[in-house]
Amino acid sequence: MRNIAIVDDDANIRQQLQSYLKKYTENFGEDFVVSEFSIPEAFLTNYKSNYDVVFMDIDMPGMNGLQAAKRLRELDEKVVLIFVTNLAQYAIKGYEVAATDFVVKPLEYTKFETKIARAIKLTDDRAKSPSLLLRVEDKMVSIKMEDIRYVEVQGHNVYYHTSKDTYRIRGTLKESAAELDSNEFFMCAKCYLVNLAYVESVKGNVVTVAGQDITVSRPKKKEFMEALAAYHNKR
Amino acid sequence: MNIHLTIIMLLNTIELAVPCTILARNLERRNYFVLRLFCCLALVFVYIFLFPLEGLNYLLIHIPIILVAFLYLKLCYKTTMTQTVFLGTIGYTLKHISSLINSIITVFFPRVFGHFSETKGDYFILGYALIIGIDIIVFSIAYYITAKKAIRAELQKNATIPMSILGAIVLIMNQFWSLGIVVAGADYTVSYSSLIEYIWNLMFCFLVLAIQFNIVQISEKDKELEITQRLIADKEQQYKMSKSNMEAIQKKCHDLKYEIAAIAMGVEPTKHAEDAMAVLRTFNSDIKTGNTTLDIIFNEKNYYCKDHDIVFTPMIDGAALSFIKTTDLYVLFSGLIDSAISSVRQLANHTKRYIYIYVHSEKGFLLIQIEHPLDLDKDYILKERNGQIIVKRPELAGLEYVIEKYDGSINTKLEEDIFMLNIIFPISESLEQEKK
Repeated sequence: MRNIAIVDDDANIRQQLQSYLKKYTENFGEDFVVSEFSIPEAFLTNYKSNYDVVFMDIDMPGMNGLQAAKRLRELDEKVVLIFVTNLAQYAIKGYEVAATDFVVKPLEYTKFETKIARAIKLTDDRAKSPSLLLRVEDKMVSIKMEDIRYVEVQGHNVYYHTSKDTYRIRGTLKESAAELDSNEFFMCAKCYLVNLAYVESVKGNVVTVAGQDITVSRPKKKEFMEALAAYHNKR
Repeated sequence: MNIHLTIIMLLNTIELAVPCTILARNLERRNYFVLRLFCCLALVFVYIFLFPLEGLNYLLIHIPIILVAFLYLKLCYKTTMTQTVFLGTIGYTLKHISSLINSIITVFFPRVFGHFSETKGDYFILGYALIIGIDIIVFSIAYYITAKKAIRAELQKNATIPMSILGAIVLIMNQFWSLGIVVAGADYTVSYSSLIEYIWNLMFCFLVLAIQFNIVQISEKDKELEITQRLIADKEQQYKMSKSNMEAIQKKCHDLKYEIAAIAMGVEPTKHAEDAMAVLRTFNSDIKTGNTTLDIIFNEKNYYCKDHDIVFTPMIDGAALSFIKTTDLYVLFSGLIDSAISSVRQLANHTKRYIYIYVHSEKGFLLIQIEHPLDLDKDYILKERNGQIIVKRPELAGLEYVIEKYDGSINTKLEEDIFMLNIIFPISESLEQEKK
């Protein structure tokens, strides 16, 4: 059962989205619990992070969709956000509030089906959020893979730099690479395995990952850029 | 086995390995690189034991040397045959230039450099040290003059044959000279009569390098020609599109004329006014991206899409594209959209005829993403990599030149029947500051 929120001032659009979700249920057996909101304020007041997908109109009176999305992101970083808009040209600003996708009005079921299927897959992926069990000194520590910024090797020690802390274990980078998802992590130098989600910039042969500059070897640069392009093609 | 000559053979191998390694520094190493390297070295040792350096073996020494260069490059690095022959021949020629300079100096200072002679020089160790010194100087000069260019060279497939022929000529000419000197009875090692052969050989080496880079230039010109041909093909496509757009506009104008005439005559004015508005809406859907070049391309493609029942939805942050030159933008987006249109037009189900284009910047990157359904019954080349289905589109190959020019990379994949393309460009620091 998926929790869906529809935030749109247009009752016809809300109704249309409801009917498309119903059709999707009929076709694929996926159940939805749908909540409708005609103004973003009503949606955001007493917001609880129990929604899987939010359909948000951009052009609404008062607080517009982009402002509402900004506020939503402060409350919930994970929820899949899909903008519903007839302002395709301005919708691109939605990426600034980590919009997952866009549905352009007039709505059509075929396109909607693709978008909702992708959103469902994304919620499943996020729910899985695999963890890694590390033996740090004499205790076991569990860290989420998505929290790992990069892995560094120094001698026989492997350092896992996460958003919270750095963990040191004995081992090799190859062993670490084998445990991590090859689509998310890339060994861009002999001593570094980076999480592609945290790559901030590439200047020449220097890659900045979570503030750390890492030099990519020339032969690896092309392969690294390909991995980065593939990573961003996951939307 | 002559230990002294064996040392010379090993020295030759090292002299060859150094320039080849310098030239291959941009290439990706194959897995088990060290093991492969040892295999090549082992092969050299086996050769030395099986064919000691004397008599005919000594004369034919160039053949195994150049073959080892090719083998080393092909076995240890991920490289094409053309690149192997190109870099191997340059590496061998540079090594040969160094050896020849050594030999020429030997003629003038036989006591110090006479390490090749049977009697050996008086300063045996110093002689070897000087060989290494000359190698370092020659390779350093060569690196700054030629190797940097060779490393960056992008060879087309059609350069394979001239490059291979040149490699063969280098070998044959070296054998020919060595044989000629021996037949003429000259002292091959330390004599003024050898000087002519060394200088000839040296000039030939420079000639080889000149021809090599000439081939590179021709190859690069071929690539430019390919791009020009693509632009011409694009223009043809553009013409067809413009023609189609003109026809559509004429048709719509005709409809509009009819509607206005009907309104003027007072026949069902409301209905005709609505129809007229519908006609006008077709042209009143200007796409504004914030980038003039894109506006022109997208509006033209949009008219064409409307006329062919394709929903074209660009969501573009045009300002983010300012670091790409107008011509490159034109080539890139025209190519991408034409490719998308040609795929979508093949879909019999018109409700599936849509194209989404997203262009936005994220962190220090510019992302161009295209999404549209694909008719999988048509001939698309599908491959699997890292659990993703990659779609090979030959028409996109021509765009790689533009993408790589800005240090970008392209990725294509298939999700169910939806084709998704992503191009990523690193945004330069200066542009980011400009944006701030």
